[in-house]
Amino acid sequence: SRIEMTEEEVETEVDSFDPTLGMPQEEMESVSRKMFVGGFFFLPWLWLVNYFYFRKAVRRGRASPLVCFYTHNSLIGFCCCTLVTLVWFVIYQAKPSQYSGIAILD
Amino acid sequence: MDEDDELDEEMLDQGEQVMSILKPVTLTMILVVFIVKSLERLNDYEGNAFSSIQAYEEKDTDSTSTKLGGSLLNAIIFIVLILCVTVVMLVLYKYHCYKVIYGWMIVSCTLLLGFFGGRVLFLLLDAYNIPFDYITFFYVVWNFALTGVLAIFWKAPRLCNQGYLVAVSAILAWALTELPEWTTWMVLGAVALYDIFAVLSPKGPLKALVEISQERKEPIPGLIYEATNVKLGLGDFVFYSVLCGRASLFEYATVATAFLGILAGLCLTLFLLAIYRRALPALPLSIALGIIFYFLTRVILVPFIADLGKDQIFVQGRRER
Repeated sequence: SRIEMTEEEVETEVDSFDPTLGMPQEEMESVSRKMFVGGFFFLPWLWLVNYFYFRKAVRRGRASPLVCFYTHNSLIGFCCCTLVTLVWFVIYQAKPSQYSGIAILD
Repeated sequence: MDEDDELDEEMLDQGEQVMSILKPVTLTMILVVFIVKSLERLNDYEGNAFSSIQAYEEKDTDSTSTKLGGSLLNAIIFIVLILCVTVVMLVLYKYHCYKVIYGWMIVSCTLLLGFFGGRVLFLLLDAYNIPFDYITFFYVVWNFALTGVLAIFWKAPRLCNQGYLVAVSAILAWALTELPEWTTWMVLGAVALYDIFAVLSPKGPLKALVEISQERKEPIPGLIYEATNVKLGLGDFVFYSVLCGRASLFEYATVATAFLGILAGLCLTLFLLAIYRRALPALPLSIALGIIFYFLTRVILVPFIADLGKDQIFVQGRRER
């Protein structure tokens, strides 16, 4: 429960729009790969995070082809999963009583 | 640069710094008030997440002195718990047990986002009568919790990280608004006083924590929201929002005034921060102003407005030509 101010002596490289500034290529590839693999554990939101995290770097050409591959396919993966989820959600909402077996509320 | 120029630059940055902290704090408070008011409409909702640590169970039928004494007792228990946990954290930090500290924080965040967050989602679905199925529910909670933990402790876009810190604070603050009324006010007052002691007094555990981290040139272990040059602990977010949440259970007018009090206190604290340039307790000024404005509003302003409304008297400002 305390509030404090830091002395910014060295100009920080952190740009809120490109969090990967100052990151070496190996680290970028490692992070991107972990996020990509993690998304397969029923975590499409992690794919979205992967996309937004490396978006600027990819756009500015600072990302290796591997990172671009992971980022691009993460976005595709997220969109597909979200589409499937939305379709199921709409089906369910149309007639909740039909699926009363898996309903969470009574 | 001479001193005057330096001060001018600081003053300009002050506005940015204040806004960068004010926005997430306000967002957290709005979230908590929304959840609290949404769940008010649930008739059979008897939530008391913290009943196990309360020695005194508040009932409406108790006398004022019983409530005062009992809620004070509850508040003291609360403070003792917070003190113990902070001391444990200090000891762990002092002896370089980083893995234990981070492990503990990660587990508690996962449980908070998963279980408490899931409970909030469930109750909101119930309150708004939205039909939902188990599969989608667990899918959402699973994604929300795990992505959140990774966003806070690993890598994620800044907005995502900050958003999840706000979410964690909001969920914990909502859970704490389940405390009975008198106990809530006592706990808020007690925590504000404890904050002064912990951060400023030479024996305070938080002061020691800050000193060790400055020696080692490391960030302080714990959940901290960082924006521009200002760091605010999540505990502060939580207690500000608890105050607003509790205020919202009375009237919206009390929320507005309590909110303004908290914001004024926060701005004052940031101002003092610029002057004293050391870690300061963020709770006392805001909680004090928030509580004062809440009780003044409740006792004076709301009856005043109610009476005016009854007699259909409307107060209007005059426009200057």
